[in-house]
Amino acid sequence: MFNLAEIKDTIKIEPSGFRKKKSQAITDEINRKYANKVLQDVGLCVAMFDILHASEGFIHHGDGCSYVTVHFRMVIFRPFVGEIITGKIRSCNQEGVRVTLGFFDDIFIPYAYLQQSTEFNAEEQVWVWMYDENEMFMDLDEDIRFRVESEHFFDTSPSVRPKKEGVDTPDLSANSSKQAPYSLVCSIDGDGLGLLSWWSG
Amino acid sequence: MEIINANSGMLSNYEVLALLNDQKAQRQANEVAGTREVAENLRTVEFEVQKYLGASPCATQSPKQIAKLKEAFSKFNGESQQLMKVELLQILNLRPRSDVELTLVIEEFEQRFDVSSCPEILAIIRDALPRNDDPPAGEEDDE
Repeated sequence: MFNLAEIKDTIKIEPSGFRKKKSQAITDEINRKYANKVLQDVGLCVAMFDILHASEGFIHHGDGCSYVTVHFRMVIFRPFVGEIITGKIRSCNQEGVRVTLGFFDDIFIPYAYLQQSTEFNAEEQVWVWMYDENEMFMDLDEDIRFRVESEHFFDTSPSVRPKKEGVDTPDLSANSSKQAPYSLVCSIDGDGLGLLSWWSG
Repeated sequence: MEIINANSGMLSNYEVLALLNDQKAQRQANEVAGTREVAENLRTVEFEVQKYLGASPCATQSPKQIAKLKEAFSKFNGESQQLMKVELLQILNLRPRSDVELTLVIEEFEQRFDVSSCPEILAIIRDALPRNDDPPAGEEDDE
């Protein structure tokens, strides 16, 4: 579920950070810059793990900040394909089920990946697994166990985003699409997968 | 920014939780001295990950238990019975309690292990990673 990524970056330490120990100042700056952000093709950054190497600080002309090249490791949330994870059901709709882990929400189980013979109950707006005449409701907030089938990265940086037709505003948020930068497509089609209560006997 | 290695090793949930707890404790110690303020984004992700992991089986694990589990599994020394790293990791993170959970995290379970060895493996897990919210022994064996 979690792994380590090695990253090299130039970290800027403002003069207000000079009173801290260097390692602390670097750690704080790295966490400020990376924590809870998605790196393309890397995953969701959680926190800095350790510093492998840090250069001397450089001060540029006309700028009081210290620039340090740091080689560090970051704790990354990036489940491997095939991994089994437990989470909670966040919402259901015609297309499938959304699951959340609390810190990561962009998990989607399309209807084709639900257990065989699962039907959508339009009245209650939940999916129901018809198992031997038993109706197993997939209620919201239930614990669910699922398998990661594929991962998708979507570059949300403004420069590469195609402009929407007819929209031409300098406000970048206006032509932003709501697509998540990192999302997982998962399945619960198999024995042992689905709500924990289905399998606890 | 340069990504040198996007995946230089896997971490178990326990390690991540331990790191976050340490980091927070250390920070709180420093906060008393009033020298550090914490970025909002770090706080958010730290809180949410801690909450998620705190409710998962890794909350009661320790390095000793993990070493013990690894050792206990080394008795399955048939060639196909060696657990892959990811399988061991999944066992740690999910701590299977039933046959069906076990076969989920171990690939091709039936070909590599005997189905009858399920209770034995579950007992190893229960033994190496004790938790006090397990149903009383015996109940599970009936399943």
